[in-house]
Amino acid sequence: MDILARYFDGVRPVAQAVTLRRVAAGLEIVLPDGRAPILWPYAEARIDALTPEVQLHRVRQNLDTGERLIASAEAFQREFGSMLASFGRGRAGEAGAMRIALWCALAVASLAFLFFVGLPVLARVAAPMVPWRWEAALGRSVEPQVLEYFSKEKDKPIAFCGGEASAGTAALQAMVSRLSAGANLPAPVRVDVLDTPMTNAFALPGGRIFIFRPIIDKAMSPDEVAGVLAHEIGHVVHRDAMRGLIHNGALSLLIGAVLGDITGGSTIAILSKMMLGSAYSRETESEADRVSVDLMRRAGADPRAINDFFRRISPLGNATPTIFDALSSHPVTSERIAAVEALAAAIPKGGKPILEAQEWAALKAICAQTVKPAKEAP
Amino acid sequence: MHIPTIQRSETLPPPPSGVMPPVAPSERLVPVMAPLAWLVIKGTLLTILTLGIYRFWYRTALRRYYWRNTTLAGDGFEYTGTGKELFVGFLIALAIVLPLYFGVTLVGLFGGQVLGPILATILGSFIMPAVVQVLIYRARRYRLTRTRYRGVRFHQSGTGLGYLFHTVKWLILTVLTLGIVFPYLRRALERYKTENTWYGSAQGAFDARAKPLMKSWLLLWFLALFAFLLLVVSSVLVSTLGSNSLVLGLLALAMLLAVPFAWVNYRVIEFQSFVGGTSFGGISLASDLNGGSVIWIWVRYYLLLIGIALGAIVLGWIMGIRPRIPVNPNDVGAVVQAPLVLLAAGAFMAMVLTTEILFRRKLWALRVASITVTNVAALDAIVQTAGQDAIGVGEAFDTGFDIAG
Repeated sequence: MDILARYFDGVRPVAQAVTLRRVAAGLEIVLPDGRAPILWPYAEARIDALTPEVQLHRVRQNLDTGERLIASAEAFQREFGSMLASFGRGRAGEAGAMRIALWCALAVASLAFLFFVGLPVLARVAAPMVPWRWEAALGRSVEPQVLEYFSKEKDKPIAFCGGEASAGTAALQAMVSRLSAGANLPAPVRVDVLDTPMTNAFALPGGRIFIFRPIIDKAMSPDEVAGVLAHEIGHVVHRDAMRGLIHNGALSLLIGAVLGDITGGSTIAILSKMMLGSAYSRETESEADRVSVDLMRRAGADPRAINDFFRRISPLGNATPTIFDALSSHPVTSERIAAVEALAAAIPKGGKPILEAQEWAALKAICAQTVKPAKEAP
Repeated sequence: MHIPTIQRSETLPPPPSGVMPPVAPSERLVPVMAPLAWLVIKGTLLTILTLGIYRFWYRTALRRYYWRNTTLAGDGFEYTGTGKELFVGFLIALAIVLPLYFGVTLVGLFGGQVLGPILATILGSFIMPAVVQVLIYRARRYRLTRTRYRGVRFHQSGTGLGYLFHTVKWLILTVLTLGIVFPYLRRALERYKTENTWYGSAQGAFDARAKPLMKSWLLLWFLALFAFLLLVVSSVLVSTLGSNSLVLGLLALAMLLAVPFAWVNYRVIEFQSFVGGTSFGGISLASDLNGGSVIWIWVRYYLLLIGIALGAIVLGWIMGIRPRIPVNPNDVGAVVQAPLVLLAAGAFMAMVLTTEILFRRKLWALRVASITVTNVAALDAIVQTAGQDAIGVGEAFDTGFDIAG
């Protein structure tokens, strides 16, 4: 039975009244004024809609010909209802559902690979290639901002402990040079003690190390301070500040580009960044610990001292790792303490302290005298 | 499916007996409100599950929906683009933008103390927006070449650089006049777009004028200016005299609140004017979009969003979910509770559905229904011409669904 339909030939936007006929190869369009009928093979006939009217378009050699057919739903179902599976699928150049699913899976897998393997490797390889001069320039440019961030009172700049010629500074320099002697440093590190109430220490790009006053106040022996310092020197040796910059920059770029405009996806982005960032920094922390043990051993001091110090200051005495550790970017975990114990196991206990008694006394008193930070250090 | 409107009957002489009058028939565009919720839910969930990669297919599905349900004389428009094209276009756009981004970052970091920030600023605030402007024009070309009506395709001539040139020219004039000639900027860009739009062999023509827009634009402009001045005056009064200028402050606040309404009002008048100035090969368009209805959609949308957020909070309170502050920092995991996650997810999905169905679709329907097409019979003279296909570059920047804008 023939079906009445409207046919658009893809050339003019004007409907032609035609009849459709089912033939073996597909769907035949009988034109009004005795012109030769047009055959749409099933594979070329694509169904766009079955309700309220049936709409078909034609794709030949993977190109949309612009031809369209519109017919009544019941008549079409009656004639072609049993053949629906034979019709072609989708728009020209469209991928099937399976293929889309495969691509999505591949894309997710490659993103995961990039996040977990690619970026850390990129950071590790690229950081040493950045000229040291650039890194130092970078460090100098961020230093004022970092100092401002840590200063407690807005209008008062943070103070450096010890003067140019003070005994405390001399003791600190002695400790630095004894530790640096065994280190494979691209350039000498510059160390200062900051007069702040927080317990912290960090290394900026370019070998700039800051130790906060409470570290010296709370330390019971020079080796405890030296352990912390050696850990920061470890970061400089591995160029971790630069690595972190590259890693974070590339990570936020990727997250921004890929997850960019999903609605509500920013939560996932922030969470994944925290997780990935902390997994990455835990690795760099353990690497810095390894350098710390090595430098302390070479300087003849006790690498285990840093553990005593951590145990004393850390409020987290528990032995099991928690979700908090997984999210923290700078965790002092029992894991790390155990790792240091293991590394230092072969080193005999009771080495010579890194500083003489009077040097240690001078270092303890380094913050008795403070100076404002110099405008620009060479 | 369509509502024929007879507009010219009173202006025409009575038809001579036995002869059909040469009335140019006019048709209204009709938006069909087909079911949409399932498409939105599926698209949103899959987009989240695939870390955002499904969004190209979701966006394609949405476009197919809006195009198909925009009907003229009983026939819907068609969107023939595919998600795959958008995905490939996104990768190409990344290849253009990522090096630029890297360039800005590297120059800013290592370009030196003085030169670095200057170069980074030039790259970031001039080159990047210029590239984006070119890509926006190309994205429009992509959408047009994937749009068909009755089997005949639209396409776009002109170049992204030409569009950029017009943008820059009028942007300079707009800045020099402190924004007063902004409607002329809008008209110049709309004109470039429309005159380079083709439906088969019919080229778009544009004769809307900017002058009728000036009234609503200046209203907005002076409103913003006075609100700003009032804020400055009242804060100066408070800080110097310590006087209580509550009235002035409230007045400034009211003016600030009126600015978005004035903006929507301007856009509605602009839409009417631009649509009314558009024609294709003797087929002309007109719009009687109602400003009050559009403003109500916006107001209702924000009220609904606030309502959903408050509803979720109240529901959470009734269900006994109390925000817990962990006593022990190790206890962070305990804060994330299953009912809380479910509630947040439900509220999120409600907001997504509201945005698409009660906001975007409603605005689309209002705009579509406002358009009258005169002389549909002129379609007979149009034939499909060869217009080259465009790949989906620039699609990464494209979020709108405007079909007549």
